[in-house]
Amino acid sequence: MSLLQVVLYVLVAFLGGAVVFSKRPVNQLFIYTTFGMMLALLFFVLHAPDVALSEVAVGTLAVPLMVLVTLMKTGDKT
Amino acid sequence: MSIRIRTWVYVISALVLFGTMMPAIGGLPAFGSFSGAYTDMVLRVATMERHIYNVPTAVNFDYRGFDTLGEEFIFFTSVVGVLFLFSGVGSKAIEHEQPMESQRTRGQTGAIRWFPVGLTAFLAALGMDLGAHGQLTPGGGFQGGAVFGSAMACIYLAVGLHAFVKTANKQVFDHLEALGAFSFAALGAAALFVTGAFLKNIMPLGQTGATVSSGSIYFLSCAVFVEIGCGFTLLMLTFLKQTQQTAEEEA
Repeated sequence: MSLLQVVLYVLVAFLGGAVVFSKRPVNQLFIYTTFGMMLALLFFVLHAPDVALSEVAVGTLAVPLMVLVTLMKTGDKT
Repeated sequence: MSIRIRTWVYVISALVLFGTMMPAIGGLPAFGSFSGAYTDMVLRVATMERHIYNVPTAVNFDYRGFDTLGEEFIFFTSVVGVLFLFSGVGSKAIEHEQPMESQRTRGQTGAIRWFPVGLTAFLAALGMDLGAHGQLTPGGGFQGGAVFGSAMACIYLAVGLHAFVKTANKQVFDHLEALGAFSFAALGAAALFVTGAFLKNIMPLGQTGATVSSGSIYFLSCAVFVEIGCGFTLLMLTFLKQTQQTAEEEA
């Protein structure tokens, strides 16, 4: 396992935890997006560029968009 | 349930989960050592059989094309569902009225305003590139379509909802999305009539490494690109109109 892989594994684990434990939905969303980017990088490093591209599309475009619009509609009340 | 019982329930479940997960994780094969017969076989024959370099695309659109058909229609149905739910909501006001431009652009520097304009062109080109070269490099219809959709979203970031609504003409994108989904199914059905097998690769395979090669895979990827690109754009269009409506209600 290369150093880059280790760093990315640790980052993904850490950010995954941060997504779960963040309290405000807006903060959570941006941490989730960062998590998605790191996960995509990890897929890329693990020789799965096709999966990485899909993860970028879904994790940093589709999901954040839906959540942001929902937050705008309902108001970030927490 | 009191907090004490809850804590105990959690501790016991966590211990049981930990105790069962650890042996399971320990028993996993090492990274890269997986040797399924299917993987080896596909890797060996795909380039020769389908004149394709990017084997994952061959699996998505050919060997397991039927699964992709299902996925396409899941996406298609979701988009149709969203459009149906929000049909007519908040659309009139935006199309006829100049948007709240002053509010949006207040405090924006030239760089913030013009960076997304350049990004739009770059992302649109990148999306089309990914969509058109799925058989040569990583990518393909889904990824390319999603990138193209985010290019459309950049118009909103750069200029505002008014410009986005005008560029992404709902009528045109509606029809293109349906056309993309239909083309996928139609190509599959055509193969069924010609050879008796659904989604069989019936197009001429072409030269390995050429832009138009790998037979049906190329055309299926293009159909998916059109569908996903237009679908994502329509989703964003619908959702962003919702936010505009909310802003108007609050004003």
